[in-house]
Amino acid sequence: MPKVTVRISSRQLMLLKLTGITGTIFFGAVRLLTTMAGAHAYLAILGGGVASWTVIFLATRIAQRFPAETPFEYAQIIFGKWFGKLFGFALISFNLVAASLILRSLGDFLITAILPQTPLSVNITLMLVLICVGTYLGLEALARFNEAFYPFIFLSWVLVLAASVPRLDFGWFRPLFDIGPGQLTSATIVAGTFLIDSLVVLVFYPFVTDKKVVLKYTTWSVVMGTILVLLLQGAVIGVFSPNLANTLTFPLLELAQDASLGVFLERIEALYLAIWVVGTFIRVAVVFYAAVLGLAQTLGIKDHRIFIPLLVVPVFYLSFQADNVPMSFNYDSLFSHYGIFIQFGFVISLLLGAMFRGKRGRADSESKSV
Amino acid sequence: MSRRKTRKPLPISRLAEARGKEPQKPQDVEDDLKVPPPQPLEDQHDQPLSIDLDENIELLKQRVGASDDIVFRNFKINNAGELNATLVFVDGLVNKDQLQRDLMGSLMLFARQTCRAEWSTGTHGYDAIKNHLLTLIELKDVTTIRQCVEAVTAADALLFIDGSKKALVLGAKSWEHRGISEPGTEQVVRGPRDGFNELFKSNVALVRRRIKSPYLRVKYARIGRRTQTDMAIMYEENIANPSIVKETFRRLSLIDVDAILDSGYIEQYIEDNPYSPFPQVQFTERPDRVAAALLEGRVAILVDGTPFALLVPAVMSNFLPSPEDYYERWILTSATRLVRTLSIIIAILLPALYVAIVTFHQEMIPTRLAIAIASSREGVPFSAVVEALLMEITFELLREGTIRVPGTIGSTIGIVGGIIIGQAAVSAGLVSPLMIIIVALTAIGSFAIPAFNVGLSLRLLRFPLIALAGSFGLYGVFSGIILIMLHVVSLRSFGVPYLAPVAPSNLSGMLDTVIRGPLWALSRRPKMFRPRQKQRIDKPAFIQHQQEKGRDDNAEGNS
Repeated sequence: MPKVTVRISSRQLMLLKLTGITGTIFFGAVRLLTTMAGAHAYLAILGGGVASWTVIFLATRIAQRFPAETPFEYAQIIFGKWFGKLFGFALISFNLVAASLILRSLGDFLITAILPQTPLSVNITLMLVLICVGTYLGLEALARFNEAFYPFIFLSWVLVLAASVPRLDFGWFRPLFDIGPGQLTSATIVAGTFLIDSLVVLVFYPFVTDKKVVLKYTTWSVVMGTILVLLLQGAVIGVFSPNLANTLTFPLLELAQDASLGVFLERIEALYLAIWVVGTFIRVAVVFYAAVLGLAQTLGIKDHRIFIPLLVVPVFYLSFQADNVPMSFNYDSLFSHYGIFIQFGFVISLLLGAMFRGKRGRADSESKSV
Repeated sequence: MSRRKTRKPLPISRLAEARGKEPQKPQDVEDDLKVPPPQPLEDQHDQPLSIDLDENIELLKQRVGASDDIVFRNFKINNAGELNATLVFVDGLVNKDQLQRDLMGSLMLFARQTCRAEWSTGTHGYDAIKNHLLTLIELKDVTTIRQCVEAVTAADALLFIDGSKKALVLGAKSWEHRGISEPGTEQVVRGPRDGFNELFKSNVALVRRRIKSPYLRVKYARIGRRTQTDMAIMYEENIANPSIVKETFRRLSLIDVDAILDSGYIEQYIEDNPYSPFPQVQFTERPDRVAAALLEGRVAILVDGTPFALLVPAVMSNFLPSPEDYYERWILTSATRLVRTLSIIIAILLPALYVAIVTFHQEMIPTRLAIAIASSREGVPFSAVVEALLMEITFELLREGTIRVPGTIGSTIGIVGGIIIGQAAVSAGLVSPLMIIIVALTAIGSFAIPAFNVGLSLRLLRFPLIALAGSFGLYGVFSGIILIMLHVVSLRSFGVPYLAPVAPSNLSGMLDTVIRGPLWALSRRPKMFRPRQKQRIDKPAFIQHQQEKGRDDNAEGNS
């Protein structure tokens, strides 16, 4: 196996994180937030932004202590060999579950929205093939791909927003702050899960060349992601009213459906969908890559690629755990309620462990070899 | 070098492993840039020349065989010793007038006047002839029979003199060749009209004439065991990144084949990924293009016997501009660039999008258009995907057919294609008229891309995309795009990411990719080639001009 030097820039990391947030927002986030907080979802999103930034800040701190190693490697330094490996497996399982849930959401989405006749398994298999290719080509290719493609994802949201402006009714947001603290807290937790994506920072930090500005760029990604989600959520409420939005399966899709590009292409939501599918691909590929890389590093094997076929199987299997769409939505909502806590748990245990045991990583090298 | 991924197993690297050769390690630039040594002719042992003329001639005849075009001319040198001599050359490859005037004339008529009597025999005689009699410019000594054979086959004339253990190689190459004419593959409306021809030295001169910098380096090398093809490697020493230059030399030195008949052979041996449909080496017939590339820090490889020079590294953004882009004003050119980007999208996506929308996403089409499409497809027995594949294949057949036939028949094929296939197929109800429009647009789109080979590869990729569109709709199309893009972003040409400066992104580079910024704004050389001197213009001339103008205005105002 030739040694491959992988290097990405902070900006690419930021864009990867942004795609992580905005590439999959159309699946469950807006629906869940609408049902949980209605017109007051913006408060939850703001709170979630702050919470997720806190976790990402902590993740950056622990990553800075081990600038040349991934969490799978330094977990073994912090917790000792066996507990470290156990920790690594937990991290990998989390990623696999996340990947399979997103994949299932994509499958449900495709079936509901554009390909009602195609079997779920076929859609998911096609996406998994793409993900395997992406993982095989590695982080650098994924980061570049994302860099080249992100403008289109961003543009799709801007178009959706712009098209919804004439139909906005700000009356739906009144009365302000009419929400119970318990309701708001749980909505904030869900919003936080959708905005966090801290594992991207944690796992890919050692591959970044300009490590000094990582925190700046990741902060930007959280800020921009929060603003975008805020605007989209606001548009959904403003256009549909909280009551109607509550009944929609994919509110953002409905929002996009009314947007038209001149008179030639009237209902271009399929085009948006296609662009969002690319965003989803990047998100799942990155999560899956982290799992594959993690397994290789936990087991101390140099070439991560041999684990691709091994880990595809559980992802495929897990994505079929839900029997139907409502059940899959249920799983999604369950995951959203705990996602931020689990990520916080990973980060804080690493950080506290490293601080109490006084462990530090190797000095930073220019880049990391895999 | 650290940026380069270790390459996947390639023909060339396998060759290197097979021969147990380690790639050269990067050291200092200068002493590392050795031209690859000429490959020795196979299965022939070498031996020094003898003192006896007849023996040497006999040996040479054995080696080059009984070829009628190799001339052996025996004569006596008209000096005190009346030495026997033999001139050997390949008929048609040397300048006979020159040999007659500067060699035969000197030796047969004026030798006695010029040479002293004691210089008449053996080594003395040889030196005297070389130093006092021959008025040719290119002269070289050879001492072994293999060198003699190489000289004769490389179109040099060879002079054997009795009593000497050396032979003289006389540079008097001359053969029939095509003059400098307008390049056929890269025509421009505005810009120089000269193109390369088949003589590599005159090609080198065409480039040298454009760049009068003392840093322009030209290295000659010979490649191909049997064809012994000459080539020149050119680069601008204080601009080109040493690691790129070194890598070029390394890859060239690993080529060990018997024939190099065109630069295309070399391209296929030195490219990074032979399994990719995208070209990773650029070819050009235009000296101005080579000059521009050299000044961006790229390396040019000029091969004898072909007008096509190679430029490395070559990334996607190198294939889109035409040299004309830089001669015309920037606003017009930027518009042209956008049109070209559009043509790429059309060439690769249009039929696939049509198939996807007509088959799966009819709701996307405005109602009136949908009705028009439906009525035009009424009676067509095939599904949209079969129809598209059918017409695309027909078009490819037509294109291939028109290229190969003589010009006079070409127009007939055009009529057959246009009228019979286009008109008759529609009225017979085999395909819908809309499909014909789509295929025609796609064809135009693929021809609007300046680089012929990129257009070709995009046309190839269209077929799997149509198939995906027919099975998965837009989801399939975008899956295909994901695959293609993943491949493209992971490609490299000589260590340079193929999609630079888009990904990894570089704003100043984008100014000369998506659009063509004003020349004064392109003050930096493309960053992706990691040039030694990054700045092209120290201070943008336009800004300087503006500032000076402002100062003048102020001065006028004050007075």
